[in-house]
Amino acid sequence: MDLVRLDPYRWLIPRQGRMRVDGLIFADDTLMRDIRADEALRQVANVAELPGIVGRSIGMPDIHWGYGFAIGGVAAFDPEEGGIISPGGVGYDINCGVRLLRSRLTAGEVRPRLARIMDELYHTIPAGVGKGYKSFVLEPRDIRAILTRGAAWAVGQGFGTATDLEHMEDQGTIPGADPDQVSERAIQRGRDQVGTVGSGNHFIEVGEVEEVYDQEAARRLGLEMGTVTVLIHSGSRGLGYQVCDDYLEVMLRAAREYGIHLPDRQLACAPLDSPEAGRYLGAMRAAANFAFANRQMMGHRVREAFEKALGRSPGELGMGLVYDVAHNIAKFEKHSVAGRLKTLCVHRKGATRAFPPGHAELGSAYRDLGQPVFIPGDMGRYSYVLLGTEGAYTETFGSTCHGAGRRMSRKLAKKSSRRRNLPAEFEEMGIQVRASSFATVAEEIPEAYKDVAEVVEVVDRAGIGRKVARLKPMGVLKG
Amino acid sequence: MTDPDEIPVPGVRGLDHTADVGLEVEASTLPEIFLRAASGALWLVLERAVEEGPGEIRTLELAQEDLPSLLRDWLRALLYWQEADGFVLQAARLAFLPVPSCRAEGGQCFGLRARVEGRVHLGPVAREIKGVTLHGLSLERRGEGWYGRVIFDV
Repeated sequence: MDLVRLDPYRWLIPRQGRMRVDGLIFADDTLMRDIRADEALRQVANVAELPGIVGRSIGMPDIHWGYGFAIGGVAAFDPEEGGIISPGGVGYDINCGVRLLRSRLTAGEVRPRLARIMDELYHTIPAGVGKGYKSFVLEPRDIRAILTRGAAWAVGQGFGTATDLEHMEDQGTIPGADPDQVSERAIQRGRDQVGTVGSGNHFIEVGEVEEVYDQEAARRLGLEMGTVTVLIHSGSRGLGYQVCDDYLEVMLRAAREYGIHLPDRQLACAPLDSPEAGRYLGAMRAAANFAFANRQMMGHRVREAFEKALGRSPGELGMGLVYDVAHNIAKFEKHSVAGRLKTLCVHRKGATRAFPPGHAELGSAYRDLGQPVFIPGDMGRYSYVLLGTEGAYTETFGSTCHGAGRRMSRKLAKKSSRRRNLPAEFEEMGIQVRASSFATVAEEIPEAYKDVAEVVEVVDRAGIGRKVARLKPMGVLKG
Repeated sequence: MTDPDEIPVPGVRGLDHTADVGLEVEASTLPEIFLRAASGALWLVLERAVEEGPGEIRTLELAQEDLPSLLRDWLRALLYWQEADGFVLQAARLAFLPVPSCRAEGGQCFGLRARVEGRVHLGPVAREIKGVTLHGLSLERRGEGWYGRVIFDV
């Protein structure tokens, strides 16, 4: 694979073979060494072969080998140029994303009662493989309401407030969702999973603001040094996986019918103006709304857990929602292509929208500031809060990275965890871990991930995100 | 001494994939590779052999345009049964049949009729498989036997 270095943070994969556009990777030397070790660059080039792609096929600094699209990939498709939509470009976990809660509490006052808070979270919010609620199983008609209304459904049921909705991407409800395009099997899988963490790399993390890079922005986001925060990382659970699975079949047939060459069958897709694309878009938006409701409910339960564990009122806790972002999604957005403003379908698979100050799609809370972006690191080190930039808008279709990015396979991580006392190691680091199984924790050890500080540094220096604050974990709930 | 991270199913090897997990499977016959792939996939989910729980027999009929896709559908069905109600395959009798009414180019499909014996296991599960991907999916003849490769999103 030809690779041309453009500057310290940009690498070009020049158009070659069947590629319709160049590939562009954001990385420094260290990150590029890891990126080159697997198939991620090949996958960026494969995406560049898809019809109607415009600009460049983009890889973020946390990019790593996925299936079809690399994880950490961004690609935009023009409906007027035969552009496509691909479920593989969104992923199984539709609208996997992150939300951040702030608080008035200081780390010093929380630490003595942290164990109680973590126990409360562990007992209140189901986490782990297939874990759902035993006493909160929704009827299919309720699921359909969630698929249409997203987080607004949860708020309507008393899980949070209308203010929360003003602090979410798309205000927590993506219009155009069509529950009729979601299979019965998907709906069944979602019935007991609204408000649950799931497994793998999903988590709830209690942390503290340990560094502020931009005082004014941090103040606007309510992130004062030493105060306690909560990060929630989860998505659309089994319902979203089933939607992706159902539509891969549809898209394989569609690709053949419309004569689309697929360099990898997981890139199965259909033209944006086709009936197949319309059905998938309706189902994908519905699953995205399910994910918004899922995180909204968990955010509410987190507040309740803090109230119970600390015996304080909501006013005393001040646990407001900073923002909620999606990092596995496809959306129609307006972007400039060769000087013309066009409506494009932007696929972000393991990438976060990062709109700049003044963007019309940002809610009134942050329109003048730019969109908040959350970049979780591994369990042991730190996570970052960024803001969207004009650079991201012009160069990456308003996108930035989404996490640390894996550097070690799960098998290798597990192997290197063997004969180690992981709970004691985390305790030593000052982090209280609660998990339904430490087998998951073994696969998620800090060294299995790149150092998110390196990823964020590249993003910041390349101008596709701006650092605001760094958060340090104190307690982690894992599946 | 055996490696505790290896999958204890004959002919099945775990693949090192950065974010996800995969299997390479070898067998001498087509039914055998389907069974080994199924046992390997269920091992990834449970990381244990299921020896207790009420026995049950289920049947399954599938048709696909090619053999790799048929293998994928077989695994999807078994993983769904496991997730939905804890049904775990123990053994199966498989019959591969040509299906003439298929949309595949050339008109031939590959059919599978399966009688699956299993147990209902509602105990803890080690790993969630989100999907059986199409990425790098293969099932082909190699020498005298068969070779398959599947990557799962976890």
